[in-house]
Formats: sequence, C-alpha cells, structure tokens
Amino acid sequence: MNSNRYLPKLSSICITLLLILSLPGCGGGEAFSGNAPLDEEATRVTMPDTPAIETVDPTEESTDENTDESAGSDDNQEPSEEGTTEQLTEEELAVAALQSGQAEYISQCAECHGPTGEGNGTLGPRLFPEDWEVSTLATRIAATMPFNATGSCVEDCAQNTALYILNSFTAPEPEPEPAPEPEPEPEPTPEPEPTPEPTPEPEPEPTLEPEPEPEPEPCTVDLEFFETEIWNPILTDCVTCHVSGGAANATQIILLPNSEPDFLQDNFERLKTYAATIIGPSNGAELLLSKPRGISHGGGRRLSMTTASEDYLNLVEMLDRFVTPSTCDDSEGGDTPSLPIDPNDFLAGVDYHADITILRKAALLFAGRVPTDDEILDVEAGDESTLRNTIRSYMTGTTFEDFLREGANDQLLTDKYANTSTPAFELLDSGYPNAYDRVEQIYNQAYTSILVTSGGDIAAAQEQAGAIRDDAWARTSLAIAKEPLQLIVRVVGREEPYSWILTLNQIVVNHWSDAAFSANANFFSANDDDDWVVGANNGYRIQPYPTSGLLTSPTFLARYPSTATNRNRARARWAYQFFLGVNIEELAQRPMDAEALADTNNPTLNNPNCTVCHQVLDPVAGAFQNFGDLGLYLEFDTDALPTSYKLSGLYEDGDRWYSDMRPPGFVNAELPADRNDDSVRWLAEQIIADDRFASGTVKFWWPAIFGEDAMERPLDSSAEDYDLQIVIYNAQTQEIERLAALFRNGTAGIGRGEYNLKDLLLEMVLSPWFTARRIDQPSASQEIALASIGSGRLSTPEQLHRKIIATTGLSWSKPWDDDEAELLLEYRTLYGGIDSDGITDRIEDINTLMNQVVDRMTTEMTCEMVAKDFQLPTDQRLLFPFTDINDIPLGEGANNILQNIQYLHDRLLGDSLSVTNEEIEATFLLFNEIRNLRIAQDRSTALYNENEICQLDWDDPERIEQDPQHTLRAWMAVLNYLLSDYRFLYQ
Amino acid sequence: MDRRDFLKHLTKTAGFASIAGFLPLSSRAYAEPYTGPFYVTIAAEGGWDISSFCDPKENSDGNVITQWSSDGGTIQTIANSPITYAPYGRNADFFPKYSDYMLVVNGIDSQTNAHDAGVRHNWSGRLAAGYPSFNAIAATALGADQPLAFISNGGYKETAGLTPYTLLQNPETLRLLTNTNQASYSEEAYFYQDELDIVYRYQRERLERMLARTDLLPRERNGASNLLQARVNKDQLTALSDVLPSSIVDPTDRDGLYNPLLPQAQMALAAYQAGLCVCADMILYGFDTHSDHDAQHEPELTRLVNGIDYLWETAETLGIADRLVVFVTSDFSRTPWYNDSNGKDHWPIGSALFMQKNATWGNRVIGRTDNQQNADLLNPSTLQVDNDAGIQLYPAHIQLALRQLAGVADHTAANSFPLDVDLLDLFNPTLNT
Repeated sequence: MNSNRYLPKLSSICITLLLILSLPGCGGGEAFSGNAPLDEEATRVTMPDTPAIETVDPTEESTDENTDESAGSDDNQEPSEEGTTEQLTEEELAVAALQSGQAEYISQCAECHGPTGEGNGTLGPRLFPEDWEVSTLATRIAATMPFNATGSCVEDCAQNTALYILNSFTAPEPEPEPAPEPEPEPEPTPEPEPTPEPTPEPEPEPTLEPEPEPEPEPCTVDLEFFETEIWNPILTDCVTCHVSGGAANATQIILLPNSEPDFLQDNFERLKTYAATIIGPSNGAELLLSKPRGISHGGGRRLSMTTASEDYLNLVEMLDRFVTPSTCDDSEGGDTPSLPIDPNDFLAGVDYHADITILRKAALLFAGRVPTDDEILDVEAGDESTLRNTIRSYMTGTTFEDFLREGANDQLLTDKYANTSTPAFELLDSGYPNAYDRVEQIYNQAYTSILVTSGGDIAAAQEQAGAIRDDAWARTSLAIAKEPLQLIVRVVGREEPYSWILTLNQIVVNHWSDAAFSANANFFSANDDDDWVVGANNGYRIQPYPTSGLLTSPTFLARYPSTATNRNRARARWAYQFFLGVNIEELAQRPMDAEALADTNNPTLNNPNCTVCHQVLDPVAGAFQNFGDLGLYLEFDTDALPTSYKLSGLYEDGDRWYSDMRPPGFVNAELPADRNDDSVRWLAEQIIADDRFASGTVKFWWPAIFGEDAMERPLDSSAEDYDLQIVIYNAQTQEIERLAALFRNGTAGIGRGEYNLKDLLLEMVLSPWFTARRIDQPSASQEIALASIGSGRLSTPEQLHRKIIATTGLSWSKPWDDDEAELLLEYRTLYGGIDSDGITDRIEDINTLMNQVVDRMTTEMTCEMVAKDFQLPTDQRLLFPFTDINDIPLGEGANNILQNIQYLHDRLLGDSLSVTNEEIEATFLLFNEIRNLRIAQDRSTALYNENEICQLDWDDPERIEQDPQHTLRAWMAVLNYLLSDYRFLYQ
Repeated sequence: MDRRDFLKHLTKTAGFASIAGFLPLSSRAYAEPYTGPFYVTIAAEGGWDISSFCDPKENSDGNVITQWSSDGGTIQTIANSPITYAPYGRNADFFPKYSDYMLVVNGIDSQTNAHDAGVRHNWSGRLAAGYPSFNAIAATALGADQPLAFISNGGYKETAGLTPYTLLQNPETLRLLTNTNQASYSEEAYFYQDELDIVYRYQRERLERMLARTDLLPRERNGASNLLQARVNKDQLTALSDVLPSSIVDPTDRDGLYNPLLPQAQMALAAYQAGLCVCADMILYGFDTHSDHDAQHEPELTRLVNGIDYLWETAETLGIADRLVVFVTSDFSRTPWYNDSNGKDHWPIGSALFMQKNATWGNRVIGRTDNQQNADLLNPSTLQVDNDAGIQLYPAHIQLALRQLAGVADHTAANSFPLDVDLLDLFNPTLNT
C-alpha cells in the first residue's frame, strides 16, 4: 500500500485531532483554554524533518502483525532513543516505527478513536486518513494529543503514531465513483461552451431539450430521510443558533427556519453544499460529523451525540446520500417512517366557529362584554371585513386595557411590586431624591389643615394626616409599579408601533408618579389616578436619564435584578425571552457533565459548555452596563460596576463593563463607543430591527389569546412521541411566523401599519388556533396534536370576574364594597391566578377547590341576581326579559319560561339553540323540578327566610322579597346551573 | 309537535322525566378517604450546597471548598450511621435526629447548569420538557378520585395532563370553600341542600352529555373531564373543614427565620389528614447564592431543616408520621470552590434525601463523590462504588426509585412516561454502602 494515497486526507485528521481538545469532559478547561484558534495553531507549529515515508513499506501484513504486539508497546517506544535506532536497517527502522506508533495508538488513542480509527471509541472522531501527510499529522499530535497529557507524545512518538495511523487505517469507503461535486468548483454554473456571442435566446425554448442542468432535485427518499432523520431530530436543534441573526450567524452554515415555505428542500441543499465545501484545512462533511459532538463547536456537544449515536450514524448516511443520491424509484420500498399526522394538513378535519361565535369570544376577551344586537346583525350581514372591523372596535376602553395589562404582566410579572408587601416606591431608593417630597407635602398640608379644623388637636392631626400620607404613598407606589404595563397600554392604545415599548424615550406616569419622577407631565384631569400620560424622567439624580421604554423602567429593571456575579445576565435572558422569543436556557438543556463545567478559567468566555449560552447572553448583558443590581442608572456615578470587581485588579478607570466578559453588543454587533451612555437604547434599536422581534411579540401575546405558552422546541429526539411533537411544534412555529410576517409588514388585522399590536391581536383571534370548534372522531395523534387548539381555555379569575359582570350586570364582591371583587382578591390565587411573585403560573386545569369557588359564587349571587333583575322593567332586564315572576310552566307562562331559558343559554353560554333543543329541555326540566319540590315541600315564599338567606338590598324599598309562585327560586337554580356550566367557565 | 304541545308534554313530565337516549358515562361512587402513604417533596430551589449539608467536604489540596472547613470545622459523623454531615447551620440537630429515617443519595448528575433544566431533570427524571412530576403520577395512580390529590406550593408541578393540582393557602378562605352553601359570616344557608343537589345532578348530566359527543376538540374534552372530575367528590371537602387549623401557622421558625415551609407543611398535612391528599410539593427559594455564599446559604439550609423538622413534628402530633414519606432535592448543587464574589456557582453533581419513619432502608448512604465533588460510579447491583465498570447516577434513577417506592412504577400514568434507566434497588436495606 502506498501511503501517498492518504495524503489528501491529512488535513482532516489534523483538524479533528486538534479540535477534539476542546471536547468537554475530556481535557478539562485548562487544556481548552490554552488553545489558540485552529488556523493560528496550524501555522505557528513548525515541523521537524519527516522521515521519507516512501522508504517505509508498511504492508497490511506487517500492520496485522503489529497489532498483536500491543503488550510490548512501552518497550517499543524505546527505539526512539538515539543510538538504538542507528543500529537498525532502514526497513527495520520502518517496522519499528510502525510498531511504536501502533503501541502508542493503542495505549493513548484507541480509547477515544476506536481500535481501528473508526471513531467508535468514547470521544474521538473517526479518522479519515486520506488527505493527510505524516509530518502535519505528527505535528498535530505533538501539539494537541493526547488528552490530559498534551506534550507527552512528541517528536518520534508523534511521528510514529502518525505513520501508524496513515498506514494502517483505511478510508471508510473506497468511493466507487468520484464525488459528483468536484471540490474546487469555482463556479456553480459551468457554462459548457464559450459561445462568443450572447445568443439571442429570448425565451427558454421548450423544444431545446439539452437539459440545462440535470438539477439534482433531491429525490423523495433522500428528502424524506433528511426530514425525518436529520432535520427533525438534529437540525431543529442547530437552527436555534445557525439561523440568520442567530448566535452562529457568522458561521458558514446558516439554515432556514421551518417557517420558510421551502425550508426542507432549501436546507437539504444548504447542507449538501456545506458538506462538499472546503473549509480551511477540512471539509464540511467532516465538520458536520465533528461539530455536533462538541469538537471546536461554540455550541458545545449537542444532543448528547457520540459516534455511536443514532443521530450520528444518520448524519453519516446523509452524507453518503449527498454523494450517492437515491433514485426516486427507491421510494417504493423505502422504510422511511411515516409521520403520525400529516404535517402539511395539521388541522385536517377541524371545523371552525361561525363568525358570530368568534365575535362573542373576542368581545368577551377584549371588551368584557357580549356583542350588541347591532353588532351581531352587522356581522351576520357583512363579510369578513365587517367581522374584522367589529372585533377591532372592541380594542379600546378600560377592559381592553385590563386585557393588555394582564397579558403583559403574565409575562413581565412587574405587578410583584403593585402591593404593600413589596412596594415599588422602595425601588426608587436614593436615586430619586425628590420622590418623597410630594408625599411629605401632602402630609404637611393635611396636618396644618386638620390642626386648624380640629382646634389644635395635634394627635388627631398627626393621625389623620398620617393616614392621608399613607394613602398618597401607596398610590404613588402603585403608579410606579404599573409604569411598565401602562407603557404597553399607552403604545398599543394609541396604535403606535409596538416597537416603541422598547424605544420610547419617555416614561408613563399618573399624577402620583409624576411627582416621583419629576416628569411635569400635562394631565387631562387633575387627581385622576387613571389618567396616564407620558413625561420625561427628570427625577433621577443623574440627568439626562437615557429612557428607552421597558428596558429602562425602574420597575422592570428591579423585577429582574442583577448581582455582582450575575452581571445583568438575567436581564439579558429575559430581554431575549420577552422581546425576541428566544429561550436562552434552551441552548443549555443538553446533557453535560461535571468535568465539562470544572473550569475556573473564565468558563463563560472559554468553555463551550458555557459559551453556548454566554456568547449569546453576555453581550446583551453588557448593553445593560449602566444599570446597577437594582436598576439604578450609573449607580456609582460613573459606572455601575460592583466594588468587588473594582478591587479585583481587572478594573481600569473609566470602565463601564467587565473586562473579563464579552464586550457589550447584540448578535454580531458591538456597542459603538459613542453609545456608551445610552447602551440600552442602542440595544433596543438592535432588538426591534431583528426579525425575531415580530415572532417574539407573537409568542409574548400567545398565552393571552390562546391560553397556553407557545410550545418549546422538543429536545429529546429519542422520545417515543418525538415525531409527533415536532409536527406540532413545526405547525405552531409556522403559524407564529405567519402572524409575525403580517405584524411586521403591516398587513395584519385591518392593516393599520407595521407593528400594530391591535392588528396582531385581531389576526390572532382569527387564527385557527383560536377559532377551531370541533373535530369529528379525532385520531389518537390528533388528540395530542390539537390539545392546545381552539375552544376550551379556562377563564382566568380576572376574565371570569368580567364575564359575570358583562352577562349578569352584577359584580361578585364583598357585600360592603363593590371594589373588593372576590375573584380578584380573596379567591384570586385559589382560582388559578397569580401574585406575580411566588405564584407566577396560572392553573390551566380546574380542580375541586376552584370548582368550589364557582359554587360559592353561584350560591352567594344568584338570589341577588334574580331578585334585582326581576325588579327592573322587562325591557331593562339583562337576565329575564321574556318572563315574569308569575309565569309558571303552564300555558303561555311555560312559553315565556322556555323563551327566557333559550335567551339565557345564548346570553350566558353563547349557545344559540332551538327551543326544542335537548339542552333547553333539560334546563326547563330543572326549573320545573325545583319549583315542584318547593311546592311539594311547602317551602317559604319569602326570599329571605330562616332556611334560605338572600343578599337583598335592604336599603331599597322597591326590593322584591316574596316569591309567591316559587319561580324566583326556580330561576335561581337555573342561574346556578348555567353560571357554573362548562361554557360559562371556559372560553 | 308545536311549541304548545311540547310545553304540555314538558309540563306533564316535569320533575321525573329523564333525557331520552342519555346514559350517564360515569357513576362513580365517592372515593374512600385516602389513608396510604403521604408523599411530600421538598425543593431547595436555586441549587443547594451539599458540601455544607449531606455530602460534606473539607478543604483539600489547598482548595477552599467550604468556609466551615477553613474555619477549622470537620465532617461530622453519627454513631452507628454511615451518614455524615457538615458542621453548618442546624445540621447538628437535624441529621442525628433523623438519621434513622434517612437515605442519603449523593453523586447524582443533573447534567446541566441551567435552572429550568435542572429543576425539570431532578423532579421529572428527564432533562427534556414534558414529563410530569412524581407527584402528578402518584396523585393519578393513588388518588384519582381525591379532590386534593396533588397539592402544589409552587414546585415542579408539570402534570402532563394527568391530573390537576391545587394550591392551598389561607385556612380561613378554605373554610369558605368546604361548605359553599353556608353564608360567609353566619351559620345560615343560602339554599336548601336538596335543591342544590338537584342542580348538581343536572350539571353532571349536562357534562356527561357533552363528553358523550365524538366531535369535541381535545382541549374541550380535557376541560370538561376536569370539571366533571372536580365535582365528583367535592362533598368530601367537608372533611377538610374538620381538620383545618383555625389559623395559619406563624411562618417564623424556631430560629426566628421567616420560613414559608411551615404554612406549606401545615396545610398539606391537614389535607392529608382529611383523607383528600396523596402528595404535596413544598418549596423553599433562595439557594442560588452566587455571591456572599455562606452568609446567605447557611440560613437557607437552616430554614430547610427547620421546615422538614416542623413537617415531621406536626405529622407526629397529628398521628400520621408513620405514613409520611419525604423526598428532598434541588436543581443541582454548587461549585466546590468560591467565585470572586465569595459566592458559589452551579455544579451538576448533587444529592437527594429520602425520609420515612421506621424505614427499613433508612440510616444509609448511597453514592459518593470525591473531594472535588465529582461523582464516583456505582455498581448497579451492589450499589458500591465501582469506577471501573459502574454507572453514573442520574435523576432518572432517583425518580424511578421513587415511583417504585410508591408502588406506582407500573401504573399507566408512569408507563406513559418511561424513564430510560434500569431500576436501582436503592431501598434494599441489605445493600449497605
């Protein structure tokens, strides 16, 4: 065998052997951190003279022979000593060298690379010796091998090992035919003849059949293999970073996200091209096999991949398929697994709500009311634009603002500070020296005034003025806490581009926080706590304050505090999550081992297991450089760096950021020097310019509309249901990207402009994810795939509270105070709500205690509801416009009762049913059964009696107190029945 | 039939007619009160420092692993026990007192340093998302008909659709929910109970009609099923009113520390005592001490052991300690060194505690780490350290063992979420380590 045949592959083994040094868990951090970048290393190391390989004639026989002599490997290293070798003939020398190399390989290399270099050891890649030279490989071995003992095999040891490798291992496949893609390939279009004239050739000429190019369309079999074995389990992981704008944006492999129309075919071609591309001393195919295993990969090891992994073997097969495509004929007997549901027809068989139902759902969601008769008539008579415009009209007013605040707070959780136990006022700390002034002024004014009116009663003045001060303090605190949410309300309400939530250079204040921030804003009405306007943050002790929307909100910054070691990373993490829809932690969810993390040499900068997140995270953290742990701007006057860092020796005067971290930036851009003071604003500009801002916004509002978080990308490709989960994820991602595109280009909703959130919300409620109604006999896979789609979302306590008011006209509140709504206070968290602090996830499945809350609501309220509504003239009643207190289930009275039941089903449940429908019948039976029982038991006709109490308005002389026909109590039962119904509790 | 005829018909049959063609899908009897073992999981949220707890480490080779070691402290032992602990916080009270209850497992590799993933891995047994907590499986398998089978205080509560979980807080508010027909501020009733029962029957029948349909979206079917389930045994909640404490316990522990574990334990035990609850998660935040580690971590570990002690003591008082099974772990642990801010960062090799009174498997330690808190490998049969041919302990082993301990490993709820490891016989007392 001529060793020259291996020369072409020399560079490959060099790179794989060198890169393996960075593999986590083997070499430890020091080995890695000491390495120079690959290319530098390659040029820096000089080679000793190489022995003439040609003089060696290592035959297969000799190799086999040597294999049996591994026991003598230590001895075989001895010949490298001078003097001994000189005694030997050239041939003996060669054999000895090979034996020595073999022994070294077996003892030091085989464990990782496998006994025959197949890469089936614990860590090392397969050795493809075809392109290498002994000298270069020896240099690499000397410089980088073996793990944990670099430098222990140099000179002859390295030389012999290289010799052994190149002469003993064969290339994986003899390559039956030359690779279809010649490697140099300067031009993708070969241009067969140099035809001097441009050849008129006006049209493609259908008859001219010389086949411009064979166009190696990926055959179905290959493309299916790519989808099921490469894209789904592997590349969906890679695409997190290897996507335009992603963390791996600067690499040579950029994939299309699955939201793109032809992403599969396109990515197939991209991968194929990459595989055939020469990249430095290596080629793409080799890198595709080494990178996922963490070898010199910024993302560390992915998917726990080893050379024994199924994913790895599939990658190898894919590379083979690139070289030798399957013929389409093969598709017949292919064993490609079929997907559990059709990914191209994800919603097959789903039926959708009628426009009227969509209208009702949207009205309750956005406006907290049911549609008016006029609206219903309009939508019934109109087209889709009527529906769109009507729904769009719901996006105004206080209920819509509530919707926005709740939806935003479910993500931002800034309402943590909207209470007295963690008051926002305290967040201002010493940064706002004037914040307390107004509160104190109010106290002083009140004290003086009360002192006069009380005739000099100091104690009374102190007590009463103190109460007034406490109230002012609490209201100011609440206003500060609400600032981030009000900012969103402001931007969305005025239909400003949603990107302004990050870039608005003003804060939003009411008259209380106006004083705290010295904003000097102009209010529409004095002393109205709900009058929110914009103003400048003039209150901070350092001016100008570089206001940039949410990102510089004191409450937002405090909600995501930092520490001396966190260094703003939490803020960066959440900025990615909230505004770009990127879950940084997802990058770190692959398994890693302790050794990989046992790295004290600035691991976040150097260790791939850390850099996978930190290279994305840390520059953004740096952009928050001017804000201290609790969010105070330039907390230490010239910077916000903690004392511990300043004493560490790394700090230099004038630094704003840690010198041992990546510099402030975003993706591939570094913060310009002239943006040091307003680096967060610069960050905001980068974020809103990023395509992911639109999809991030869709994901941010996804749970507010659909009731569940957008699905995270499935990670475990070995999971039984992985294929199905990927289909679901892909379908959802496509929907997110569709919505994002409309939002981005201003064609969502009714097309009021780019980044119009109302338009996006409108588009979302018209999405199949919202409008899906039913599916006949879903398959088992569809039961899983459609689990988060369509009707069936449990109302939040806030939504249920609004729905009760909207449909019945009454609020479930403490008897003494309508503002003390039970579902917003007493039962808020018990009914699945959040407190934005310890309880931050809403309960999505009703449990027994939650049902008890509903029970209590109905038992407490239905008597009052019935009594009050019947007290009104029929044309003013919300609940009983078609019946009378004396209507009993006989004759016309029964007719009226039925009609009112029909009406209640519609009003309370949104079900427009025929009067002969079995559900109307059932409700009617309930009415009768209750009434008959009462009559049979001769129960009291007084609404309030010793056995039954009723919350009556005792101050109202017109109140109804008697129920002579027992119809009111029967209606109470009906209300109880309907208000606790599935369709009332769920959306 | 015109409307008048229909009405006539309805009027005649009112009160005793049933809906033609309808057969109830479910006619469950009320579940008996649950009296089996009560599983309480306690999460030390943020990543605890086991080197100052159950896997104590003295400084070695010039490396400062623990400050207490720098201060001259040494690893503490217990007579006739393999369990050791660090001289830190309240450990000296806790470990000797409960060593007989306790199986300590050290050297568990969480394989991550990310909080979300660490929590998920340790509490579900799988690094990737989507697997339910042990509590969700146990509640499904052992208490499907119990109204409060799974009480969550905010720990890892992924249910994967198996069962709802419940948040219990204020006993005063709970009392209002145990009898919803009683006025809030008096003993009077809003309705005759027999009338309410009629309403409840109609509610149930309507839900059953809905669930009989074949065209429901999965989400609707799930919601309706949950609602039906929530109502099935709601009357059992009255049992809770008999055992509810008159007020919530003062969350100040014996060391004067604010300790949220106390009210969590109080309410969970009450729910169990009422026969309504199978399992509960408790959670203590504050272990993520990246700076000034000892000043923050020592009181956290003190809170933790005080909370566990309160749980056992209260269970003892209630006479249910012999049915209590406690499992304690964290996202992962903390580095065997201090960072520049005197804090400790994330380290994947952690520990877990199993506790049960009179447990035959107590007073044992399984798994070991070296002096730099790297995990040794274990022989899967003998559970002895075997760094040549042993296996690495992962959270999946722990979760699988927990399922086995609870007798739910073969239940369909568990089989739907298989853990891809071999079962280790952690609870075999003959396998001393």
